[in-house]
Amino acid sequence: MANRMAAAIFALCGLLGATGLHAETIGYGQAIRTLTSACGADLQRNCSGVKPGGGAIQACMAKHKADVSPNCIATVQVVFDLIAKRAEAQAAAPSLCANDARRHCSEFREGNARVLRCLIRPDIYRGVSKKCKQALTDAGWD
Amino acid sequence: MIKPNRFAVAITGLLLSATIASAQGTLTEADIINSLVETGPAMQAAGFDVAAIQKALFERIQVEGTESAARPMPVLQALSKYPNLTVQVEFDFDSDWIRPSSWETVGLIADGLHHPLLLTSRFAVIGHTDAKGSRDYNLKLSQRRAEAVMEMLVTTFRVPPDQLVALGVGEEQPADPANPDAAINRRVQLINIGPR
Repeated sequence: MANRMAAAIFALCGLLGATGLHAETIGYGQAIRTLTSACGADLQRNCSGVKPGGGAIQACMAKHKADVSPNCIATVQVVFDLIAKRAEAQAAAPSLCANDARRHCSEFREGNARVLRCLIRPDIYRGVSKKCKQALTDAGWD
Repeated sequence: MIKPNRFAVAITGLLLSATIASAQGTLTEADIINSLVETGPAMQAAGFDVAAIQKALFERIQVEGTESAARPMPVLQALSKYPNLTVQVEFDFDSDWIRPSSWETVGLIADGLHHPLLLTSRFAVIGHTDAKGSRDYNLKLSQRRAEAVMEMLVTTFRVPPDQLVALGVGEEQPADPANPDAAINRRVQLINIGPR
C-alpha cells in the first residue's frame, strides 16, 4: 500500500515541471484527470450517481474497497489533496505578492483581481520577486 | 470536446502560448480564458435575469408550434453575443450525474474561472438537451444538469458560488436546428454575463 502510494505520488510529480519554476501544485483539470485515469471504470461501476464534492467519492471508494483497483485507492486521496493545495496556493498568492504589488502595481486599486492582472503582465512579471513568481506559479497564474 | 467560438481575443499579459490548443477537439485552459474573457464595454450592460428567462421558457413550451427552431427566443439569441464557450459534458442517461469521463472538462473550466482574467466576471452555466422526449421534461432535465455542473465547479473545484448561475433551456435552442435529435445539441454553454 505504501509503495503504491509512493508510486502514485511519483507519477503525479512526473506531470509537473515544464515551466522554469517548479510548481508545487497542479491544476484542477490535471488533478481530476489523474483520478479519472486511475479510477474511471471503478467510479462508473461502483459510484455511479455519487458527486465528487465534500468527500463523497472518498467515502464511496472506501465502501467498495474490495471491488476497486489498488491503483485507484492509492490515487484518490492524493488527488483531492492536490486540489486543496491548488486552492490554498491561489488564496495565498495575493499576500505572498503584497510587496511586489506595492512596488510594481501601486497605481492599481485593490480588489477585482486588478493587482493580480498587473503582476502577470509580462513586462511587470519579469521584475517581480522570486517569492511572488513562485506564488503565481503555484496558483497556476504565470 | 470543444467548439471554439469566434472570439479570438488576443490576451496580452499572459504566458499562455504553450497551452494553446494545437488541434481541434482538445480543451485547454487557454481556450477557456480566450473564449470567456470580458471583451468590451457592451458587457457592462448585461442584465441577466434567470427568473425572467425561466418564466419565458415555461410559457413558451406551453404553446404548440413554438418548438420550431425557426423562431428562436430573442433572449437566448441575445446571449450568444457575449463571450461564450460550448463544451460537451457527458451525463448518465436521464440523469444529472456527470460521467467521470467529463470531470476533466469541468476541472479545466474551474482552472479558467479561477484565473485573474476571469475571476471578476459572473458566468451563466447553460444546459441544453436534444429534442428527444417532451419539451417539459427536457427543460427540467437541462436545469438539473446545469445545476450539476455548477455544483461540481463549486464543491469539487472551489469556484465561488456567486461567480455562477445555472440555467436549463431544454431543447429550445438547438445547436443544429436542422437535426434537433442530434448529439451536438446536448451541450453545456458558459456565458460571461458581466462583472461580479
